[in-house]
Amino acid sequence: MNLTKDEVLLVRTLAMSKVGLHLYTIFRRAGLAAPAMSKALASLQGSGVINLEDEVASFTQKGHAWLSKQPSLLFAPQARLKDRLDRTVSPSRVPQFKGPSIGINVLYVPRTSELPRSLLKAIADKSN
Amino acid sequence: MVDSKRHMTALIKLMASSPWLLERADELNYLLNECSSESELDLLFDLLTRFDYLGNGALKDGFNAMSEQILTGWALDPVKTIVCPPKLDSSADSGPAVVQTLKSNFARKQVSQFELVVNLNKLKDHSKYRNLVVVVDDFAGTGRTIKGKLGKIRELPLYKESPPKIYVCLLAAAQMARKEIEPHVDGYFVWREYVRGISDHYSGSALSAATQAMHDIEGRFVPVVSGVTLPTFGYGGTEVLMGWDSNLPNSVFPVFWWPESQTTGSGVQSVRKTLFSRYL
Repeated sequence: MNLTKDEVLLVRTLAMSKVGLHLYTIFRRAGLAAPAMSKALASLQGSGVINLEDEVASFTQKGHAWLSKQPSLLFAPQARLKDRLDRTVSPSRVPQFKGPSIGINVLYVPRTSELPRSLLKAIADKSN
Repeated sequence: MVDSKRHMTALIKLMASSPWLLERADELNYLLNECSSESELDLLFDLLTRFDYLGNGALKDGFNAMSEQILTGWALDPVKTIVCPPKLDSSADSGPAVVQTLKSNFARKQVSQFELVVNLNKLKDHSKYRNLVVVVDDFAGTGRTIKGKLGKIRELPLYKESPPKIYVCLLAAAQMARKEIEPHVDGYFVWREYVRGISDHYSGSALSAATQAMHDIEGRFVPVVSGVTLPTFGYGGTEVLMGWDSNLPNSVFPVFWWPESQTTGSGVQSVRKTLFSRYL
């Protein structure tokens, strides 16, 4: 089954819940526009993956079986999440919070405050 | 206006169950944003949920059903039958288009002896031997127009000596058309028949609330456009909930097709983005 980006987003959002999610919750969490979400919902309902009862969407038995064979869908590489990130995070990611990019073969200097205390202690002991 | 959890959920559900609305998302958004109260929004959501959109596939089924009714249901002898729209003038109309569509259906069934005409005034004298007349059209609202034409058919010089048997075969119609037409014909067929969207659906306080909400919505429309008066609740109060991509019948609630609205108080007129269109 080939899914569109919107359908993948809907499946991922819905997969966060065991018992299903209210349509409005999916709408808020997936960050899709209403027509896009409706289209994805209708398509997944048509394929028998998702069931809609009252206003709660959940995976059907067929959907659960299908989903269990699609681990890559739920644990996709970061690149595949780009679309969602663009949609949901980018608008609030203001330039001043972006760090300087590191050049090739340039060592990364970590923040000492973020290093484990045991490591700092070991470094201090060694230098002594 | 669609900003509450309830209405957003209703919108998603509505569009998921009515794919035709996805192609008209902008128009739907415009329509819902015109609402000025919760009750207006509730009414529109309910009407749209019950709305019958006839896409190309559905229309094909409808025309097949019509030709089937003529050929098998009534089993009319093609040699004695005239198929025509309820028309005696030369104005552009959907009736001749229906005749044209049925033509190919008849051809598919290897039937070719029907006399198919687009204007009853053009009938020649030799047609008097065809004493079975099937009046076909895509839609009847109140049924009064077709009823009027039935009398005119019987008055044709062609049928002075022996009156014809008349059958009416329609793609869609308001239920009230049946009462108007059926008693005056030898056969009446409608593929899709519609009850009134508000008056036949609600009762008691829900009926008065829905009626008031629709009056409020229509009250914001320009009452006369291109010399045509707003047909409140659809022409003759037919309240039809049906739509297709060709010219829409005026029996459908004007909220879905009336072209202009006015901003309350200021009197400024604006062109509406409508789900359907109708030539005025």
